[in-house]
Amino acid sequence: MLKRKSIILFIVIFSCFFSSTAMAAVSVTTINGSVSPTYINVSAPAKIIFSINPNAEKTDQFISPQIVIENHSNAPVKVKLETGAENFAQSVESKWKPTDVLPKEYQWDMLGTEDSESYLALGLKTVLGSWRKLIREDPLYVKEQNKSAGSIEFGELNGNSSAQLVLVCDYGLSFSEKKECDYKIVWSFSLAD
Amino acid sequence: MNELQDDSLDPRIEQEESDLKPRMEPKKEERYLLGHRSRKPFLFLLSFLVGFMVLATAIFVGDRFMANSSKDTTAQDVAATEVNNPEIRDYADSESVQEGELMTDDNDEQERLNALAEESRVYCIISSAPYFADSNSKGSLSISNPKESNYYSQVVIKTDEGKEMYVSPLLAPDESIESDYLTNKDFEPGSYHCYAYFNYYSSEESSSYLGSMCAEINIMID
Repeated sequence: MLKRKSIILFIVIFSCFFSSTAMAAVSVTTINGSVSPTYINVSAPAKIIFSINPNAEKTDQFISPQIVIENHSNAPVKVKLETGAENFAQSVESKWKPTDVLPKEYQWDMLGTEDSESYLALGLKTVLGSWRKLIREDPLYVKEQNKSAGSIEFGELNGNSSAQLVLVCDYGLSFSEKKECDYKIVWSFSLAD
Repeated sequence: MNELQDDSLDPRIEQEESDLKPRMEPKKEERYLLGHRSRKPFLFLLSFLVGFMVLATAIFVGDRFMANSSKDTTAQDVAATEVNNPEIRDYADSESVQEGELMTDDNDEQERLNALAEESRVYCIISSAPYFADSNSKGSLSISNPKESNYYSQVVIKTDEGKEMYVSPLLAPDESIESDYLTNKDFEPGSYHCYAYFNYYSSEESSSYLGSMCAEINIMID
């Protein structure tokens, strides 16, 4: 009987020894992960042209192209506009150079030729839709931002998605000749927080 | 002797002098005639100038009047010709006439502007966190100008303070830079928040500059 108990005890001790040895071997295995930096991959129009037809119905007078910002990255990105007199401003080459003003500064439908050809209130506005997060819904006017260097965030885009902005404008209706005006915009992108 | 020397005491001499005085000074009539004679050229010149000014004014006013009246006459003549001759003229080709009111097609204009914006689409592709083992080693920039692009691009990376760190070569569509050296190696090890400006050109000339986009990145130098 005593002999049988000694054998069982030996087996138990032997099994414990081997199992602890096996556990020690597993504990030295390491896992090494490597993550590459995300690419920022976005696109936007470089040239934005608008037109004003003072002879059309009020709702059809100003035509802005759809400004589609595309995020080709897999990660969400912030969409910002670099502000200041050099970034969202009339191009030096612009043939028509009206003074940038705010909409409330004039009664636009009462302007004669001289004022119509001298003043313009141009802004940029987000279109509700596929934004991951919309930060700014109000239009951003050229005059409003041209004295502050930095950037203004419009919103965030999901990975592999796009969103739209449009130009908004207040203008006179009396023009003695055809006018063409160019503005430049510097977009800025960064990974979303 | 004394009498001969002091003539003023002699009443006869005084009388003789008083008789001579009127002859030496001009009489009133003579003075008037002398003055008139001296002002005459001045008055002549003045009257000439006044006359000239009146004549010039008359010519100017007359010319204006004639010009206005001839203009009115011309406009009146044209109007009279049209009103008195209300015949329908022949017109060889009437293809320009369309049915309905005069109106612009806003949908066409919208599509035209959208197409122009799409044609000018530019791309901004770069690693959000390029890594450099040191400022003299190559770093993983991963800059690309994809084949879908219609424009050349050049990337200029600047720090928050505006210090230039890297300038890429001009990239044509379908060209990329996997890794490259910093063009300014004057940077200590550390993490730098930078702006990568993508400048776009329609040709290989600087004058063909179209615009810029910007990506915020973090550059790490060990």
